[in-house]
Amino acid sequence: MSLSRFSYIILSLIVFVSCSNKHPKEYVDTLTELGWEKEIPDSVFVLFTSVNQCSPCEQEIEEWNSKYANSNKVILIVNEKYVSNFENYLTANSIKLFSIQDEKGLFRKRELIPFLPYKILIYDDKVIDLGELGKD
Amino acid sequence: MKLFVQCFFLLAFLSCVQKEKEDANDAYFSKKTKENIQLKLNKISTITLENHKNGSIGAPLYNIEFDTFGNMYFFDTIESKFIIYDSKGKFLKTFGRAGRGPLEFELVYAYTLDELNNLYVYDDALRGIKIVNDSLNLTSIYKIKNKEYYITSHDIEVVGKNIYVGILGAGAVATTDNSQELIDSPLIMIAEVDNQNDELKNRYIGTYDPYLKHIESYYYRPIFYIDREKQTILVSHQNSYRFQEFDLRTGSLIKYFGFKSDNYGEGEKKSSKNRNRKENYLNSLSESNNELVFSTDEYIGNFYLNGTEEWFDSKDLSDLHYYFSIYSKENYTYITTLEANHRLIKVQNNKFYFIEDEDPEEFKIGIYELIEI
Repeated sequence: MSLSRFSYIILSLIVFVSCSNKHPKEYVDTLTELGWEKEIPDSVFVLFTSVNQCSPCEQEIEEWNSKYANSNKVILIVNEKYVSNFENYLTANSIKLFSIQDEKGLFRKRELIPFLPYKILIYDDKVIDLGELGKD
Repeated sequence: MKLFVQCFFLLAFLSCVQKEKEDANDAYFSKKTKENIQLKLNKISTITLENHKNGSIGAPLYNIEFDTFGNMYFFDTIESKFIIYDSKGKFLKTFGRAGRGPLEFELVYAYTLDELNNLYVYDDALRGIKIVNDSLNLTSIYKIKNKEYYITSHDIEVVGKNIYVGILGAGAVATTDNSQELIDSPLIMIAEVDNQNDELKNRYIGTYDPYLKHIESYYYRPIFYIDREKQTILVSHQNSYRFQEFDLRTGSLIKYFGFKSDNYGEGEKKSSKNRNRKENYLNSLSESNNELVFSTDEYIGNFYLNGTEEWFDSKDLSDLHYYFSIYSKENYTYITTLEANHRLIKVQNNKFYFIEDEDPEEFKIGIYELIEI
């Protein structure tokens, strides 16, 4: 299987980042609490955003969207209080990633992520912080 | 010993020079307080916007603009389009989409309507102002070509052929502290539309409030209100309780005033840019944020909010604290500070427009007036 240049960039980033002290179970439990019903694979990128983010973040989400549409390798979590705003965001940006609305900002409240927009990789029973979305 | 004495006198001299400079900055500062007036916000009505399931308004560009028929213009930052309702909240139409074409928008900072119902939109992605007429045709795009300043305010006003925006000089952007470049920065740009050349001829009004030198903050953006009848422009900054009022025609400073109420917080410590956003936000909780400057027939003032830790996680408007500082329009005397329950998005024709509910399914705008009790 050949990896795209984009995937190489992401994987090379992992080399430079440290493992989080969080456990994947905390993320999976929170996702379940939000109503996630699909199976969560052992290795998955999780992207966190809100409906109003700056262009670099949106551009990176576009890239993920083009590579991993309808794939269980990436989950997009959108911090938004209102369902219609969440749905408009997905429609306006043609998002085909597996997505879920975080109505109450649970991931931030539980300090599973430090801020938005953010990305992590759950891999080999570890949580790897990948830092801010839209930043190299 | 001789060296010590010399150093002592040198330091004393420098300290006097600095004090003199600060005093000079405050030479025209007026701090008269407390007229014997009690005020309150009196509710007039509520408008509930028709739910047309076709857009989102509100965050982060909390703004509403009115055309001459009283129709309300909102900008949907999710879908990059304008949504127009009539004065009773009935959905009329929507136009625009994401992009850089004629009726496309990318990073809208500010918009307004003139007396002919032309819509002026400042799109920071283009560094340009698009003008759309009342038939929804793009009539002009004015690109800002010079690199002397950046447009930083979310206010834009049009008076006659002049477009007014708040700016920050490029020199000040490059600095890392509250330097002289900041307070020397031009404050308001007046762009005069030259239809023949599709260019903007620029002039400036005022410079940044010297008081900002004492405030630790990253956000100094100008916030202003143009009083068409009085022909003045009232300017404050995002993190200052002070105001400068200028003559619209001559640009000369008419009044420099303000009163720091108990609820108004100023930045105490500039946080490192390397810290994460939550740390930055928590470090800035001591700061109040001016959202708008207003003027009615009798009063002038500012509306500001104080952040909370809860808001960082929830982004719920009800987790913020809202206040008004109110001054007499006649003599600039501070009258009072009122607490508000909701976020104010516009003051026009003596009416205060608040977001009472930002749920897109039932978006409510409360209209209030300021009355004496």
